[in-house]
Amino acid sequence: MLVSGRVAQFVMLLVLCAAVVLFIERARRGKLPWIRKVTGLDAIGEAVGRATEMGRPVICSHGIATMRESTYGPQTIAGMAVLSYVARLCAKYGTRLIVPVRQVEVHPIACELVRTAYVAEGKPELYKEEDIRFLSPFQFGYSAGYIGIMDREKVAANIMVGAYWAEALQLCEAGFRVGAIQVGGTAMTAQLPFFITAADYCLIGEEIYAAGAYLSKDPLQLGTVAGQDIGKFVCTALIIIGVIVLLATGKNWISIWLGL
Amino acid sequence: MAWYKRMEIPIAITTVFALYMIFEYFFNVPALKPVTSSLLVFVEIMGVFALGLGFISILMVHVPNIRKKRLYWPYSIPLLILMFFLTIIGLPTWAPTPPKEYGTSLWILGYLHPWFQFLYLNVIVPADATIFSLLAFFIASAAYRAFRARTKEAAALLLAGVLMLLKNAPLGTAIWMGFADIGTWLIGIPNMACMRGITIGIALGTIAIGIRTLIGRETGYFRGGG
Amino acid sequence: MSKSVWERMMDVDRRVIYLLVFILIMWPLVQPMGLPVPIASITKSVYDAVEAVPDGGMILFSADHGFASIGENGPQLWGFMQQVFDLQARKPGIRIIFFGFWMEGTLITDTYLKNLGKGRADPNYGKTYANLGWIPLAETGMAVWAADIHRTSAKDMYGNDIGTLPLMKDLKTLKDIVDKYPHVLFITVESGTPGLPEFLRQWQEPYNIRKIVVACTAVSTPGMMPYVGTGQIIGVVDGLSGAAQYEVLIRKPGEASAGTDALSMTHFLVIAFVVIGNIGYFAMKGRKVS
Repeated sequence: MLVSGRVAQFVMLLVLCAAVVLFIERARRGKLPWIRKVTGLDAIGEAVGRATEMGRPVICSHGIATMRESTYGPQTIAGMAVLSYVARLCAKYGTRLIVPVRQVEVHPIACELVRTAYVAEGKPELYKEEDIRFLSPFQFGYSAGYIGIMDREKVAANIMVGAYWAEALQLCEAGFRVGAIQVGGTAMTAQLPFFITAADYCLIGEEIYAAGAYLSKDPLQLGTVAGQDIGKFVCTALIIIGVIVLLATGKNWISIWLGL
Repeated sequence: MAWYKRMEIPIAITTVFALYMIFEYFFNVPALKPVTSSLLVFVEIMGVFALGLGFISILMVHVPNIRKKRLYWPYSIPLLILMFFLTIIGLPTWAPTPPKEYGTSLWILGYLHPWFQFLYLNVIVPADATIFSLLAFFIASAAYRAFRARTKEAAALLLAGVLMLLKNAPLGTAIWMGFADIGTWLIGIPNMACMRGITIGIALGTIAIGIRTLIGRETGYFRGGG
Repeated sequence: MSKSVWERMMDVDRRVIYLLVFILIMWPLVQPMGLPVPIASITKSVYDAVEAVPDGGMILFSADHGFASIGENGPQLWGFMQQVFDLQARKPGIRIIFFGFWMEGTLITDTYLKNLGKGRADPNYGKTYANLGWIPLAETGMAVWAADIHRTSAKDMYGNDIGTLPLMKDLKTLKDIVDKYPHVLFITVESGTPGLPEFLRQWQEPYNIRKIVVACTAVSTPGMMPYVGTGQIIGVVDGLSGAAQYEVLIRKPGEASAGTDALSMTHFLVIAFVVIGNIGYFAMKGRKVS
């Protein structure tokens, strides 16, 4: 019944789901998992505060991918979670928030998300739909528009969490040029070096997926973060066992056993 | 609240279809293959309709810009003119005797229109390439700014960066072939190990966010409020 | 108060950096230096894999990049296209299918086909090779195309019904291609997403497409190395320098060979500025300590 070659994947998925469900149940009963400090996420509040003091706007983007793709959609969702948090902070402090958007289908979601944040903070009058700007579906048209906004508006904080490609370094350098404090986060491995070197704070890979849970402090979301760590332990164990078996027998038994 | 605005509806739709796709991926049920194929085609069709959303979004931003004469409003005028122009000439056109190289259909897709091709190839493409080429300058200034051996980790980053630069530059490997070997080792062993670790972590994080979406705890994709 | 030399070294105006980068890119392009181009093993393995396609084999060729990265991907694509058609001339049983999941990549492929005298006007078009054009919607499109080629690519790049092409008539799914052709090589020239990870997920594992070679921008190469290590891909043509190496291998020097001089000069300029910045940093640090 199971497709051959996918049994190991299915078992791994079940193990991961079971771990997540277990930690969610523990969280429901009050046993919250300990999540280490993520400097980049803590710095978001600091960045918005700095922008408020300077009287300059915050620019916050959620990446340039859609929500439909299997690998990059979750990054956009993670970016949206950060955007939601930033929008609430900006609403609370009365700071202007600009959101550049590349994907047309994400634009109405971003508008609704920011509007809801302002309403939740009791400041619906501060919400400006024209600040949620669809720039261009072209990658570098978006980049040019983003750089232009940063230069014209002299933003004080540039928060970029999501899926980015070649424009990542351009945006970071442009942000540095206007003196903005920059928090960058992506799971695009090719762009991580650029964020690490050019941004002030960087969220590496899976840290962006933990952002929603970390910032909201929702016990159930925190439980999923702990559950994914179980997956990491399983992978680490398989790697160590695989290396030992390969060195001892000269055959890649783990791959053979997993049907890979 | 009207029933169609209830939050549970998008969560339920997401969960049902996600569980179906997961089931279909792992279990061999021939009867489901045409259903899956159709669902994937539906996604394609919905994606195409999203293009219309973008058109409306641009109008909603730039028409009020011009009406209310907001900052930089003159730039909105050529934007709207070009947008309408390209849309109109990009529509399929009826050609009683189409050019041979464009096939046998009598409807010629608008992107083959010479004006569209001219604007695309001579305006959009060079503009795209120009912005991309800024990376060459930005990489130089970012490397100069960031590669400072302030700490042990920064020194390691600096050393690895310089060795990779020497490996990638043909002149570097021409000066000493060892740079190619060192660079290949760096990219093939430590880099590969780190990339594998990061990739595994990202994959697990993706699954976790998927599970959060399925159980309705991750609502950032359809509403806000934190 | 005027800055000391060390402070100036630490804080060079970025406009000076940009000007020097510009000069060192333009100068070798105007006055080529002819610097040597050593061949990397991962590039050679790609070349060997293409040359190893036997008579009766199939080459699936995907151009998944845009005009923005044509500086790197263009010479790669051009080198590959010259090689596959030369190979087909030597081994007439080889068949080639061009397509792309980036719209712009298919336009570039079509332009290069015309430059080679191939394409719609070629009498062999549709018999020994076909150009199916753009397949939309990225990874979803890959899955749908593999499951039903005739439905997804109902018309080829030139508007012909796919069923009228002799090569594609009986090839309705990717499984049909794998079943009919014992040796299938997949070449992808890419600069981002959708790209290799999507192909591996949607094609390698479900349809057993094992022979894959990749040409990508230099920034993507570190991300490809895990797949080389596991054997999921045979090799990588790495950016402009990889394209230059490929031109040396196929003995057809072109744009990439001309561009490697500029590549070398700018790389050394960056190294020089990094060294200057660090000298200034440590000198200032020493002064502060004393």
